[in-house]
Amino acid sequence: MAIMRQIQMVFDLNKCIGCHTCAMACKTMWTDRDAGQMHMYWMNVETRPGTGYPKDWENLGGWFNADRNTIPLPHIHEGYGTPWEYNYKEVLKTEGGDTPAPKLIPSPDPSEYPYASNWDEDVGKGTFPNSYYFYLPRICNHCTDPACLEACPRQAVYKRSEDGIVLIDPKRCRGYRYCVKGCPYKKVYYNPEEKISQKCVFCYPRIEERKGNFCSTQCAGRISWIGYADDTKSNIYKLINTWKVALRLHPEYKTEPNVFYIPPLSPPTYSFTSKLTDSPRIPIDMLAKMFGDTHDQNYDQRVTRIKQIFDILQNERNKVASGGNSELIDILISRSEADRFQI
Amino acid sequence: MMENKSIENDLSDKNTLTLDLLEHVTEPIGKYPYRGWETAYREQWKYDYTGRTTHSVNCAGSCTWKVYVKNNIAFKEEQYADYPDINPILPTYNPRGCQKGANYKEYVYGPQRLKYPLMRVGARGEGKWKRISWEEAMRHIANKIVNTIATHGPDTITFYSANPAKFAITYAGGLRLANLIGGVVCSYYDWVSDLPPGEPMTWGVQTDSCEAADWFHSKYIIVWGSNLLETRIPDAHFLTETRMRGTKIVAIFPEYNPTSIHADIFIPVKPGTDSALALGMANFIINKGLYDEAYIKQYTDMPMLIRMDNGKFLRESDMTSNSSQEKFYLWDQNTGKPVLAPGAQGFLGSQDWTLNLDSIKPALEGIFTVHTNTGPVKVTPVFSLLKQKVAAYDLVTVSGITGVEDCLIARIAREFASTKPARIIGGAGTNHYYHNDLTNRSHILLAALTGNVGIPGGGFDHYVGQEKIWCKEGTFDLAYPLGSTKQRFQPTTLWTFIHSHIMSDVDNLWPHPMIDYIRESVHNGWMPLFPEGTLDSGKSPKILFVWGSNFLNQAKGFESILANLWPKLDLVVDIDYRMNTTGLYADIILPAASMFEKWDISTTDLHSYVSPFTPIIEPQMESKTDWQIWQTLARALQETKFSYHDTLPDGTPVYRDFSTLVNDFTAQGTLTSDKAAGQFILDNSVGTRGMTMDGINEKPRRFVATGKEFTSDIKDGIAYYGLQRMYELKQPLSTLTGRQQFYIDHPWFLEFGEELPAYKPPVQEDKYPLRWITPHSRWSIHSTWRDAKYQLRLQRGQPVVYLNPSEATARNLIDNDALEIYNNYGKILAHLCISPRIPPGMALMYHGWEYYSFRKGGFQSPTTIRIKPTQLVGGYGQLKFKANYWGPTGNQKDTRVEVRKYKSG
Amino acid sequence: MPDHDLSGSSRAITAVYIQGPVTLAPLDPAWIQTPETVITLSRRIHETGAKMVDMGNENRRIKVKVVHNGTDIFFFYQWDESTPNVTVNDYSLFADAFAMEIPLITEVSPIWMGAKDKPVNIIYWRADLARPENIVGGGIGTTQISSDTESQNIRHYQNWANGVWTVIITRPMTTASHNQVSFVRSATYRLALANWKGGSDAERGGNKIISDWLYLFIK
Repeated sequence: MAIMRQIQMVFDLNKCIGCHTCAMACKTMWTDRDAGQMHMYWMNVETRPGTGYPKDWENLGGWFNADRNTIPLPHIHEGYGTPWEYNYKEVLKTEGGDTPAPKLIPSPDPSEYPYASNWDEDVGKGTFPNSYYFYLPRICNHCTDPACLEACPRQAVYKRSEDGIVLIDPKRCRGYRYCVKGCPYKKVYYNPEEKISQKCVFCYPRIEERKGNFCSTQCAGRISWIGYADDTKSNIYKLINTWKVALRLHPEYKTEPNVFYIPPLSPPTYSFTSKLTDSPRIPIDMLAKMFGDTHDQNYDQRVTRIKQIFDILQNERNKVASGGNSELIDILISRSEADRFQI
Repeated sequence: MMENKSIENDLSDKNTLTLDLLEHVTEPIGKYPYRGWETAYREQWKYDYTGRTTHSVNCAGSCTWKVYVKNNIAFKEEQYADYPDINPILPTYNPRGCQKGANYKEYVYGPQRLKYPLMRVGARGEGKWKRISWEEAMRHIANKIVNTIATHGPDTITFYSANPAKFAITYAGGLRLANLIGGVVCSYYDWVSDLPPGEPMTWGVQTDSCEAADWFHSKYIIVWGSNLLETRIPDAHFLTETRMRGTKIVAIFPEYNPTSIHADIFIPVKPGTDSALALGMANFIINKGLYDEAYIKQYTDMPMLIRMDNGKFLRESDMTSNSSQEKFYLWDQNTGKPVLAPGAQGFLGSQDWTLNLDSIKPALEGIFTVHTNTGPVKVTPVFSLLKQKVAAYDLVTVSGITGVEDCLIARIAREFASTKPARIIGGAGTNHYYHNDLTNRSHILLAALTGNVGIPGGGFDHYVGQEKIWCKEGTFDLAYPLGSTKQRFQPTTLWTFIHSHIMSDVDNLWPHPMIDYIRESVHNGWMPLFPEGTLDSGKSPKILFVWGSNFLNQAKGFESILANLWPKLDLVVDIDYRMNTTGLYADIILPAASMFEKWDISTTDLHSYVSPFTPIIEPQMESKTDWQIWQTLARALQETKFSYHDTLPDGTPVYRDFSTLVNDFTAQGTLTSDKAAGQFILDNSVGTRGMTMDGINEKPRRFVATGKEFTSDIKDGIAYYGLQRMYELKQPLSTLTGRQQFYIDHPWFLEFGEELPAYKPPVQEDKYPLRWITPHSRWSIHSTWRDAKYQLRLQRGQPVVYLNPSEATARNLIDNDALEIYNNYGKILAHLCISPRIPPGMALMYHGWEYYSFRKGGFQSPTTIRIKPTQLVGGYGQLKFKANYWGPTGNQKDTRVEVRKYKSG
Repeated sequence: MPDHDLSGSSRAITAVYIQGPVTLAPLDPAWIQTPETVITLSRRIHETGAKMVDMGNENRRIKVKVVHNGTDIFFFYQWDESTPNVTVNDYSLFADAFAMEIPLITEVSPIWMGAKDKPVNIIYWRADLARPENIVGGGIGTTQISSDTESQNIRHYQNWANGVWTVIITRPMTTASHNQVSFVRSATYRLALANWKGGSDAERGGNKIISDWLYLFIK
């Protein structure tokens, strides 16, 4: 085994509030200095159901689950959204002079093309009052079997042995973008200024200092945990393996992601006669099409697992509400920051 | 700002065969030979030093942030995450912050940043500016002040900022000068409608909510019109975490919002009908006997006797001539006699100023006869009247009003009443309606009926605006060197209403026209209105200072203010670190230091720690800290050697001599530096005694004590919650009755049928079909960050309005269409976002968009100012004007609009 | 250094000696007096074929002229391209590119990027780059741009007009860099050409078309 240790991350979607502090934490550290990075969100949060970022990424395909010759490459404008620039200087005249334009205008004009990285935030689906949506934070999954790595003909993508972090060597990358095609999660980005591909580095300079990655440490909702897969005492291990409440996003993509999600509960729907039902408003079908344990699980098994997780969560909640103790609930609350970062 | 930096190439440039440096990659998983480049990202993360600060944006976050600096550039912000835990049972406050605070640097270095003093050279709002020197700016302002005092009087000089909790030194600076020169200080908390009027009415407090950690103690939480998960980002985890431990979360909102998604039950209520729902629950709780009888007898006015002949409290003065009008009766079931209720205002200072009932066994129901000075009178307890009154709110009726199914109303009422501690969390969603006082009172009624007020995890807690000034005494001592009694205060809603010539459109709701209520209130001295003589002789304000606030952009009645109030002003001065709408319509702009560049102090009701701002980098370009700006102005005023004899409204004479103004401002040079001013605040506040500015910079400190305006003590190991002194220490409240007072026997309240909480429908005066809802947003704090590109890029880049699909279909609209939004007050252009999370009948636009973000109009263009006469009342117990504590609220959610596709040209 | 005489062969190119300075202009008189050789590129890579996008099997013809003046050597290349692809500023965009490969140390190297012990020297031109890159390769996936200052000595001219790319590349004949071939008069060098047709999701990396080994004689 060439990978000595594998870092893993769990997101609790029942705690995610869609605040994007993670996205901004990442952006301000790694991708706000270079014009070619402006469209990139190594860490992004998307509203589900929704088109996601890049647009419709789940339909773009990846190295192990699509015809490699037909996997498309998105466009920045249509697929990622051109980051708007504004005529601040003309409008605000903070250094004196006459304004040539009194109104703040984004460019390009968002009226012309309806997409940006978070364009459909909070839109959701359903019919009021049974509307539904939830937030899905996404980073590079630092997969056990990374499709980006597999796709690179130059072996410029590699996986670190000490923590399993997947990196692109910027000096050996020649900008072929096979990795962009290869990643079914579309978490590899292309920098058109540097003419190379770039991606989440899991804040390895911080991990090396035994600090958490910024998207975790800055997470205002306290929804994430990080730890090493082989640390059986860690909370990520317990969430994934002991309590089995954390699932992979699209394990059928066959890359073995190392980022896991606790699926979202949702308030029950109303019947036609305005009576409150017992059915969660987010369709289980939708969740089962997104989350599962392994690539070979079938749809029915995934449905069963999601229901099982919801039962576990509700049972443990009820147990604590009636005075009992629950290791799972203590982990989900994680009263101290040390409970979330075990590296 | 810092774009176009490439990753360093660290390949050796020695003239060796390039290939010799390299090894063939056989196994990229685990054995990659070329890892030398990894230093590049390590270099990017390296920094020279860090500093601590927070943000004064009135978000109530008061989050402590660490700023990383390299080459004198603040390049990265991260939550400091070093709040000490209150106790091991409660989740930590770390990390505390949001995505906006994570990128404040954008304003520090961005194109919005003000760098030099500017003077308007074109027409107001035309955008023509001349860069001027500080000296020129100050001389201009000082001369204008002196001439205006001489010609029009000092009460035409008005100071507006919001608010001290978010930046005590910055706030106090302007007020200190106003206090010394005789200017008028405007309120903010009532004007922005964040003041929950039901709290001063019922509890005699401004607001006294628990800190967020106490949510974790609740076993049942109704989140009612307070979109915590979107607008209280740093605190949201306490809600999701208490939910995990089994607390049921009920979300009551008209729309399915981010808080609703993490609720156990989402209850869609028709907009503005919240008090009907609350009263329906109260009715159910009373009918089913689910109320806490012992509690309401001891801690509320429910057992107090009301005269059935005139609806007033039975007072001691009714029974014995020349006795107190502030002592009231209970019917003692032991003795079958009326007995004075201990704890009322009339007992202040005596041993009966307590909520201990001792042997009294008060009746809650029944009709009794008492023998007053003028003969026998029938009396009945408040509870009896309440029971009768809420009987109108049966489940079927309430279901019809609110759209909530009757069984569900009964279910949540039962659950709320039978799960203790239970809490209602309220916010702007209910408080920004015209009848916000009734809704507030109804909410508090539910919490009190069930015995939840005053206990950990229970009660009614309201979060809008950063009103809680933990280090209040020191802040006010700094702000009012001559004392607050020598300060002219102005309830801003009234000032803006009158001086903007707002035409009341709600006169038909009341027996008399609104102007009559205003005249009576001002005439009686209930509410001040400056300049004195405004209503009689048409006097008007002449100078307006705005600092640390975007007054104009955020103002209800925006179009009238611009058209009518603004032309009256001879001088508008805006002090800010960034250009905004108020600045663009000002005459002089003074560039202030940013939040990375000064000492200051921030506190909030959401937590119990003091958070400092510190000068991490130097003030950029020619900017100065607010404290220094006011000193500079004091110096310019001193140079005029002006002096005058001032007379305050109560007749107090004050001689004001500007020739010593700098000394007066700096307290003989002891408060010259910002840091010294901060230390003065810490030294003079009970909550921060013993702390130093350096000490709070070292690590966040929890407050050590609370002043008398707080309703609870602060204790080690316990999260702060409200009304503990009432419940635990039996200490009376500052209400007339000393208890939680649901019955207000002021004649106006009796005439309006509002002596007890009631439901009144939202104002329907504008005949348009869509309720115009402008809630707080995830992406801005009011107008701050509303124009920031890194935030805008994660939205739709320009103002949007949300509609339900059915409303869009009915108007042939598709997503992203350009729309005209209009009513009688104004028009706006914005783009459409269609979402089924919005109910039919609503047009929702997040508030705070700058006026210049719209091609036409502003988000407040369709709004007006609607004053409620009950909020003009004074001279009654707890209903006594005090800036930011009691005064008319400016509300805007009753507004309605229509939308149509915009055809340009 | 090899000195085979292969003049007359269809795979032979002669670098003509020109006295005096030669400019980087296509109308320089040097080119008028120099005969052109048309090279057909028809080989495609297959060993990691799964990673490659199938772009068909068409042949590509490149006109080649080479001159030197004893100090500098000039390579003149022309080929047909109906639409020039000159940017890589979006995910799907790839620029037209061209490369010439010469064994660096040994007389013969594997044509596919050489081998560890038989490296190749490549000059890589791409329409969007400021200047051609001097590359060393030691097998597929190993190519590296040389970073030594001695090898930063390549200049070029490029122009697309009327459906034709013209690219002229020049370099001193002798070099102090270990990462470059030095050209010696009267010697013959193996040379292979490669071409990438740019465009949307188009040729890049190993997905290209190349010639067989050619023989470059320095007159």
